[in-house]
Amino acid sequence: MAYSEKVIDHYENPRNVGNFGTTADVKTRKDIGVGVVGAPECGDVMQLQIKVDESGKIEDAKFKCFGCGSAIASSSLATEWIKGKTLDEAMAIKNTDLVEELSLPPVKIHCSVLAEDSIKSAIKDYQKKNGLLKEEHEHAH
Amino acid sequence: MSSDPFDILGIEPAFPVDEAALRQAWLKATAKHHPDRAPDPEEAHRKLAQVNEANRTLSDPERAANALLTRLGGPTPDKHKALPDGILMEMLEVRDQLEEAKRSRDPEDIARLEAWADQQRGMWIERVDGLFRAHGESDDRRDEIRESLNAWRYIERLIEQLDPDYSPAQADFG
Repeated sequence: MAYSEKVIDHYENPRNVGNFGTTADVKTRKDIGVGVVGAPECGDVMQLQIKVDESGKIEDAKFKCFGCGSAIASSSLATEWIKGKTLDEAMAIKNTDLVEELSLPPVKIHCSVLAEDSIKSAIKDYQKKNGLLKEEHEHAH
Repeated sequence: MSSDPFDILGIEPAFPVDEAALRQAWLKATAKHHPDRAPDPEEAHRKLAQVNEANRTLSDPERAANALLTRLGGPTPDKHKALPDGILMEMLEVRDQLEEAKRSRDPEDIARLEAWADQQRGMWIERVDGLFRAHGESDDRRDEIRESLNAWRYIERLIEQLDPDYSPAQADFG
């Protein structure tokens, strides 16, 4: 399987790797949302932490991904995309956007799903901490 | 032809797979499809590849359990994503330890993780065995089996990553 140049670039120089503190450290920090997601198809795990400023924009993002090159590239790209976005704008990012940008092959689509899930999960965690979670019907995945 | 590895090798669908029966069935099948003796060598090559793949699947406990669940009409991971509580956080922590151990190259840390992963694999084999038995005896346990297999995958992935030759890039070429 051949990697696209963009995947190789993100894989070799992943952007925004790390965290703003351990999961326990940031648990009580209201400006930080944490998403931990996994892909049962492959067994890879990913953590995304977002730092939200007072105007409600994502000021910074950090990720850790223990997975294949495509999963690392998807999450690295996702952190670049969400920086500077409002929560609603970040929430609107679709895995298909990542697939297109990185030219991921069909067998690697679940890696992009993982990245999308991590964004949604981190935003929800932030909203929950701040009492912002909208009353909506959870639709099943 | 069915892609079910139990059908391909003609062995009793069960978990855990009977190792002696598997070996015997595989030897029999490879002899049967030996390209030197078959009237159609190309067809024999294809069959042989299928037989070998079925053997690899059933020699691996996690893959064998997945094959049996598929055969029973159970859900795939994308259809039933449930995971036991706390598993993801635990897996994240263990992977942090793995990263640390790989960085420090401390053989003791790696050995400790390997021992832990091995013990976890044994635990899932036992649990999944129990669930398949319960499924056969009475009610539908397929979703529960899927949930266990979803969790088990993270352990197998850890074992793959513990391999000194593992590289994330290669995981894509595999």
